[in-house]
Amino acid sequence: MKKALKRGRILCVLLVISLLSGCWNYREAEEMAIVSGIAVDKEKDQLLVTFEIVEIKTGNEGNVQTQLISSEGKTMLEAVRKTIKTTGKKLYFSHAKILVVSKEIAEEGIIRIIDLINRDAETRFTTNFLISREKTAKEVFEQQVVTTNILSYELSDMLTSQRDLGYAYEMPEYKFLQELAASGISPTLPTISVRRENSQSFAEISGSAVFKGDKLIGFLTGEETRILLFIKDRIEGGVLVNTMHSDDGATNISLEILDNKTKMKPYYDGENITIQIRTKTDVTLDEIGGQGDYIEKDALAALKAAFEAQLEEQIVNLVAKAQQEYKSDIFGFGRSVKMNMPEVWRAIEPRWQEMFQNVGVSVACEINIKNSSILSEPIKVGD
Amino acid sequence: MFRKKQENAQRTGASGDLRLTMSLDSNISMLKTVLNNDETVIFRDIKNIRQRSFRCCLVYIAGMINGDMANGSILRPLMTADMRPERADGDLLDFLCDKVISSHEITRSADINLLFATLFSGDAVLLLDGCDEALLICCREMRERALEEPELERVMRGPKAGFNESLMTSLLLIRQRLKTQDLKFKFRELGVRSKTRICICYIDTLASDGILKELESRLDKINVDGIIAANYIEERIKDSPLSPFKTIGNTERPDVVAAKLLEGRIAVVVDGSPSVLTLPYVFMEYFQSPDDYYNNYWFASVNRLLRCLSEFFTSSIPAIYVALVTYHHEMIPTQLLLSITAARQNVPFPTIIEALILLFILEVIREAGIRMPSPMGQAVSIVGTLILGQAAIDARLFSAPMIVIVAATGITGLITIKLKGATTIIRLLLLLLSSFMGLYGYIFGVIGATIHLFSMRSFGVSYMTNFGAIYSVDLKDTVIRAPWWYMKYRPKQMAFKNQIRQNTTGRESDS
Repeated sequence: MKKALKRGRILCVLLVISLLSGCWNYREAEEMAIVSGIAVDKEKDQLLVTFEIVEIKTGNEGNVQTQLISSEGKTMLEAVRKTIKTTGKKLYFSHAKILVVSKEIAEEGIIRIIDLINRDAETRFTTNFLISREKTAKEVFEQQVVTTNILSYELSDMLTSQRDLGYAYEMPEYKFLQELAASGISPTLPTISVRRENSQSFAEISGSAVFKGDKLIGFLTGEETRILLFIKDRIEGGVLVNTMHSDDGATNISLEILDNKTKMKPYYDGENITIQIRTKTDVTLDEIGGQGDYIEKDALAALKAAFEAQLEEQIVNLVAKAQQEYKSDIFGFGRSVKMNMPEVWRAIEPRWQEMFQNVGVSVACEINIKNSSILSEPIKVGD
Repeated sequence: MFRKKQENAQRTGASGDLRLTMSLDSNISMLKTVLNNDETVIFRDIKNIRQRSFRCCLVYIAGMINGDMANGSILRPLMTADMRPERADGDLLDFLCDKVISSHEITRSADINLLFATLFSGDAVLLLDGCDEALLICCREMRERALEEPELERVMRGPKAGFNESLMTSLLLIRQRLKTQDLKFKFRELGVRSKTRICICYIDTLASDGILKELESRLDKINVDGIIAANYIEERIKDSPLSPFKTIGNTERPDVVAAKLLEGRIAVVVDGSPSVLTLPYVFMEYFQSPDDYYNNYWFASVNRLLRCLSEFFTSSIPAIYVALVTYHHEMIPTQLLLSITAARQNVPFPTIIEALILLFILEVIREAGIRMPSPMGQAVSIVGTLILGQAAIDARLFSAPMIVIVAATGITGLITIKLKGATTIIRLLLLLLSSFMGLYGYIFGVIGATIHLFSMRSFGVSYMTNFGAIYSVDLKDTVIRAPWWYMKYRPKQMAFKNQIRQNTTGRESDS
């Protein structure tokens, strides 16, 4: 009898637990508005946040469209919650893949925007950040979609595919925060702009934004971004183009990057830091835009030397630009010092801002042409 | 109430102080009193052609004895044999046994209980005038089903015969496979009214004495009036009686029983039931099929893994789906979330209600498939597939992904059919837990089920034997089936008397 009573009590407790625990984050899939992307602009002293919301029509998934909803607020969260006024459904952020921030806000400091993304449980660490080169960030979302139905996801795909081009790169939130927090490196973010063609306009991701601390201070072009990736050892693909001059005239040649390894090594002579940058790139000779035979041994050696020289020059130029124009260590020279020579870094860290501008760079590029794709000769033209 | 019933059962069991007397007439009238209102009992009076004073009576049950045998081996000799005293010297009963009645099995007995038992088993009882003993003559008609392949345990390659309802046939099938004097058959009778014969089979040199003793002591404690099928015994002697999991196996295949006996297990054959109990039974046996041992071990291992995976799917898919869709949207790939959301637009029920209704319907279809007369099978498949599938989605009663989930649950559940009952309960439990607490609840459920499984024992053998195995030896016959030439040892906990199964293989190099 006593045992039965005890069992009954336990059962009651279990029942109550299961009922009281309730549905603290129970939500049916159709009750939420799935946010695919966020754009943040500044309006007077407030934030104007635009959400791209996936609108799902009844029936099959082919019917997916998006809608833009804007709302204002002093903080991000305020703006987020204010959307309920218009949507009726609570926004759901776990599938938001893109955050576009306007130039204006980025120049004032980006922490104000990204803290919510970092702190909130719903938003992902892998959300990709972009800086808009246009007047506003919102107008990016108003562009046409090309391959899919949802622009934000298309932008995310673009960033992923950039590894075959190298004009931009994926910069998810966690990586950005790492670079922001680390000493000896300044973060950069890919940029987005609008390309207008006749009556159509498309969003285009190319180039990058240079930060100093959390503030935007300038931009790099797509080509420069690729060199930046070379230095940071983040290049995974892309094309090297150079023009070769010979008796036949000028020939444009493309090399496709297969693999690249960049090593950065700092040297300290007690006064100045010198960074040695050595790249080692495996390429294939993928395109010869003329009849000159550049596959033949001597020509190939010349070709290799020309490309190496070009890359070296580009690297030196970019480093100079960062040192003189932006004064921002976007390459992580400081970090390399910190990792290789911790004692030196401890001594020079307070002075690094000034020191960076005078860091000497020695660049050695090595390009290994692995093959000439499936042909071993240039195209021959008969009479 | 129970006690009263027990007493009742006991009373009917004993035939009290009835005894055979020297007088045939009084014996017959005594039997007729006991068997009054049972008109299947036939009393056939017999007289001898040469000896007028010879009188006897053959008692049997109509239809149960073999007519030809009774006529030719009992009746005719009794009527025509020379029974004159000068011929029939010595004891008359002995004379009949030895020289007149030609039956392969004949006993003389004064025990009235034995007399009834013989009578009801379908043999004949011969009462003689002037004898207080009866002759029990075996002449029963064997009526049994042909040996068919058991429906639930079909194999692709391997013996097709299954047990039938006759105890002796079942034993014969086992004996045919194990021609050794070590194979022991121990009979006993259970059920005060049904007097069901059961037989404990084991291989003396392999089976554990402790397990055998435990089994016998549990069987001794059974006191019921009837044992109709094997489960009557199984449920009464199994460990963890409240658990939905079996701790005693059952099979209708003699080859399986023989294999289990060779592993040191013990079998219990119950008369009237084609299902033979094997014990101890461990969890992994749910996933074993006789086909595993009759086919190539690669194929067998793939099938085993498939069965294990299916079991995981059938118990977990609905729970995981509900948890993901109602709590953890971030874990669903974006495209999938979009299509689920699209499918769920305008569906009136919450996901959990949808899941419960559809699972209920699934179980109903399954049960209907078993219960309904087979000509109606078509109707069920039409209702099941067309109406519930397509029409329900078109009508927006259910979302398409949920139907897919439930269909997958149903299909994967058919693979480990013996686990069906337990699976249904676990599935429901997990589903409810994850509808309350998401994956958190699901994990709770899985932990609970695991603790339950690991806490169980079957006749002293841990139920999850080899699940925490460290040595590869113990893993040879679990989620994979190792090659035969590699399985050199028998299961440790059952056949510890004699562990080694084989020393060499066909190819010397492997040993």
